[in-house]
Amino acid sequence: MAAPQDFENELQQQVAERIALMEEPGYEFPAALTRADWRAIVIIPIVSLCLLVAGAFL
Amino acid sequence: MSKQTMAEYVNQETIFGLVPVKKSERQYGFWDTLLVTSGFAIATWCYSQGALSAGYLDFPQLIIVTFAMGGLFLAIECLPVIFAVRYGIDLWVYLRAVLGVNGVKVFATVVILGNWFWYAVAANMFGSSIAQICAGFGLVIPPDVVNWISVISVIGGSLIALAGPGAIKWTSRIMVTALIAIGVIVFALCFTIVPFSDIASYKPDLASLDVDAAQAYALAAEGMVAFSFSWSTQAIVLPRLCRTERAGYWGTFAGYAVVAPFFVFIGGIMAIVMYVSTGVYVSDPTVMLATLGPSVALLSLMLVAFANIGTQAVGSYVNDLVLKAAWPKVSYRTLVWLSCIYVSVLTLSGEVTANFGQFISIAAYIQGPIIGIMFVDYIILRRRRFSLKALYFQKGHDAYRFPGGVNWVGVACILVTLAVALIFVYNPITGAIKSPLFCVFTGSGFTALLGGVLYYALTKIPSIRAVALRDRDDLEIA
Repeated sequence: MAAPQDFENELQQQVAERIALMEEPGYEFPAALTRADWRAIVIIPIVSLCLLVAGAFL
Repeated sequence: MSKQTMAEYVNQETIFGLVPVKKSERQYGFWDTLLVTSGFAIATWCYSQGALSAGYLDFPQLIIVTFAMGGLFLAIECLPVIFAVRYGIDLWVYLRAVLGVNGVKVFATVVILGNWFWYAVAANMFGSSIAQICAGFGLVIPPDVVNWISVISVIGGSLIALAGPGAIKWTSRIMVTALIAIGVIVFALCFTIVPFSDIASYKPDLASLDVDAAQAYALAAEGMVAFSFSWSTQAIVLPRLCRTERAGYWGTFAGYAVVAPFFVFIGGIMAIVMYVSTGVYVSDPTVMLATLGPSVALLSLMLVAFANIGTQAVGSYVNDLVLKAAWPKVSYRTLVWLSCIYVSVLTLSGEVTANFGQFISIAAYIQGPIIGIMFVDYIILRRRRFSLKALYFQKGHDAYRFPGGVNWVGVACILVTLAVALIFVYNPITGAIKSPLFCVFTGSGFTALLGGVLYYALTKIPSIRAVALRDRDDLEIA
């Protein structure tokens, strides 16, 4: 079993490597949510809440 | 896999769970995310959840509560998927900014202790399915012995978790296949035994529960809020591997808010069909399977038994990797055995299954305030931007370092919320409804709301806001 110190060292090394990679000028982050996605994220809870309120009076 | 290789593998897995995932490591699109998430979500406890709801609701209300509660809360709970995909980090890494690194250790552990309640339910269902199979052959097993048989699934699942990733992969395949087969059998049974009109006109017997219609609706809603919250702290593991935010968000949302509730809905229908056809309300899915479908009872009960061993195995692997990340000095093997003992005790007592609704609310009470605080912190306070370097305490990036490793603002919000909800709204330990607020917000829903409001109010105080937003000049990676 690897010692906890080895674990910490490897973790820190991997983190540093990955952050450095993300800082490179050409690094492409994954495509972001679109405006339509955000609309749906707002509308779905509102519609669900309305249904839940209606359900209480059935 | 040798002991040494297994230990190394667990270390690699734990490290991979903690570090930001690189773009080249992302494999999942929408359908991959949906399928894997659904496989994780559709355990046999979905049927217990459905039976709980059916005890309080008529058919139209059952549909609304089962699906709309997920639509309301999971749309919000899944918001961390956005940063999980973008930066490839897990929720617990981000929560270092909100709770502090030691606060995360404590709350990750407490949340998992609460999550194990669900696994005790699955284990008891294993024992119950074996008892039903034996009863089919004329052998009646006493309840105490059934509880000990239930523990076999906990030990079996833990041994599979110790065997490593190869065993987990195969177990997952068998488990998901078994669970889908059970779902098909139950669905076919439900809609062939009694006419649909009988299901649609079903009314629960609220007089025997000593609650009025509003309280019954709120108690069923509380159950589904707790069900929705139960995914919140594990739901962000997989989206780190997604190629786009859209695939990650909607794949995760659909798995937990559509597919899992569909299996809850089937469980609810099964309880209604059982009540309509026998006049007895039963919440144990294995009893329902044995009663409603004698021709397929043996097959379906064996599938339930195997699926529950698989659920324990996958749960043990996932939850103990989270614990390993929080407590790296404790070996994975030790964590698996400690978890095994804890779940075995819960299983032997039978208390979780007997008081299912209350126990899942206890687990949700811990997660509710974290969800509310996360929403306010990530969306309103930080406006979806934080310091990746500070989350990993890189040299010179100290925005999320707190005295003693605890951000007392976030922790205080959780503790105050829990106290207020327990005293003034709903006490899941006793099952006592404390005020009409419960019928408006439910207990767990109230914890999410109050946790968020408290955090918002505290971070309006200039001195606290200044500390919370120390990261504003450290947003190099965006």
